[in-house]
Amino acid sequence: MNPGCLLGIALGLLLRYRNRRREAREQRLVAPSQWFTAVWFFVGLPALVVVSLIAAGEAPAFHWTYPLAALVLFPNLWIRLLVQPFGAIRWIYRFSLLANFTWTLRPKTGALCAALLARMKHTEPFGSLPIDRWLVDRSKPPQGILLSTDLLADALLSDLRGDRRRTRFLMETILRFPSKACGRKDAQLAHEWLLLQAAEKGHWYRIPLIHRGARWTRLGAFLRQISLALTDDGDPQSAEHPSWKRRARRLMLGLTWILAPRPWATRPLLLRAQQHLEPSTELLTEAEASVESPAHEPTLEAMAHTVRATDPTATASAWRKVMSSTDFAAWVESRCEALGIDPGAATQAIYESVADSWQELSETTGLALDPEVAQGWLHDQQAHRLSSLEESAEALNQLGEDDEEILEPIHHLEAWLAFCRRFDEALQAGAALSLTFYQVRVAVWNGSAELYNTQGQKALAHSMFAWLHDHAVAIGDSHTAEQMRAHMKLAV
Amino acid sequence: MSRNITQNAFYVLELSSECSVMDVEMAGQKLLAMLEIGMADAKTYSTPMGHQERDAERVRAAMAQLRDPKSRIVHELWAQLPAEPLTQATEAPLDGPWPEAFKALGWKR
Repeated sequence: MNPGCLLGIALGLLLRYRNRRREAREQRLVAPSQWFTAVWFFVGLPALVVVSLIAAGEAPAFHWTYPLAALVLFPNLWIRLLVQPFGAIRWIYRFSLLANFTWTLRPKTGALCAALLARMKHTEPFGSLPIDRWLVDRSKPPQGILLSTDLLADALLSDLRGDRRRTRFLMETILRFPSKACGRKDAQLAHEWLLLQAAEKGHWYRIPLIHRGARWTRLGAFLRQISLALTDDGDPQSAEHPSWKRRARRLMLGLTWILAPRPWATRPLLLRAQQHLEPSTELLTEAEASVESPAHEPTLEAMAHTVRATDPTATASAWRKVMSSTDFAAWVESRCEALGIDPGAATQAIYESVADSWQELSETTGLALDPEVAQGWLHDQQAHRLSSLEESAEALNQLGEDDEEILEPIHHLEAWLAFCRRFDEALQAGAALSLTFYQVRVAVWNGSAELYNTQGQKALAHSMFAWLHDHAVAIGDSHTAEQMRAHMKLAV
Repeated sequence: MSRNITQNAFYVLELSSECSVMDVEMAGQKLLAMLEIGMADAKTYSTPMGHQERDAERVRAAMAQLRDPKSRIVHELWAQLPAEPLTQATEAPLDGPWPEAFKALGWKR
């Protein structure tokens, strides 16, 4: 028999065996082992080739077998070099089914992730290409225990559909998964996505928080330095800022930039951070310094949000910041005095105009607003948010109330994501973190315990333990944090 | 499109938010006269959200709104940005967003 045929059969059997092991693993979570493949690659495969060649009466020749084996065992390289440039998403999916080294937990869902990542490189809106239907058809609700790859596929699909908030919650949940239930590639992609999303929105203060607990990455290190340069508490632009500190910052920035992926693409960001570290010699103009003008930074930011008309939530938050500032109150008071009107009535008129603009913005962007919020958001927003949060926390609490009934995994995930969304909204509406956390702590705790004990969703439960732990640490609740640390040691 | 900006009385009358009541009357009458004889310059005005069309009805409404102090203070608030498209008038802050993040790292094109 031709040695090439034998080799092909052997590789086919190897991959079939590996996929069967994966499928078996989906039913009971076992840490993926690379030993099997490593032994096959370095010992089994050469032995098989030698035996097959001797059996065929030929001298062993390795010069073509190893490149072929490398192509089959490490398909990512040639997917990237040969398939990706042509945008052949179906083929990327099929070849990625071979990439068991990369998508260790769920090879099939991992291949879907690879295809979704390739789809993200197309500029056409999602839903406009025939391939989109094909991708959606392959994205089925997960069965069995939820693993990080299931969440990653959902997250990438949500990103393509434009639901960035859902994507963010899913990515954050992945990073909190215990290591046994979290593939290395999944965690790396989730980490990178969260970093880039924070950078895209200009939320530089979030970068070190995302970095915490994640593996060291070149991109993470670079963005952390950028974040330190742009958000330094000591005001690096101040002439009194120690020059040695600025020089050290610049050095670290340069070093991490060289190590970061795609340095030429990230160079504009490096230049921005370096410029920010330069001591400022500019003086405030008279107009900027005037307390008579409402054109202070929060007002201009809120205006810019309104003009750009992209994100109603960010716009509402920006306006809340304006309304609560003392500069704004001082301006209203001084103008009312000059115009001879009652400050209360004027403020109410301003509130109404802001509410109108928010309503128009929600109509422009097509994002539905709760009528209660639209009617009087400044008065009712916080109460409404907290009430919605309570409802979603209660939904978590009730996850295990139906005794012995095992619910679909997607049900648990949706309940958790709905809760994350409400919690985030409550904080954006100005609710205090500690108050909001204590309002939901027991419900989340009960829900996570039910998920762990009766529903068998141990990985998601671990992620919720980690969420409780992180927030308990953030508000200084060492007792809860300690208990959650103990929970996080439970077996997955 | 926020009407607070696109139909802001100060932008319609091309006045600064510090103008007096007399300035409002003079600018309004001048624009009405220009619209009456069909001058092209009077038919549009600039706002941070781009150029808008102007007619006599909008000018009269703007004048009326600036005569009412309670309404005027609202218009003053919304007239803080220069009457030019925002992208041309405002330089991005150094610590602002990095919209190219996903493209730069090869996630998107």
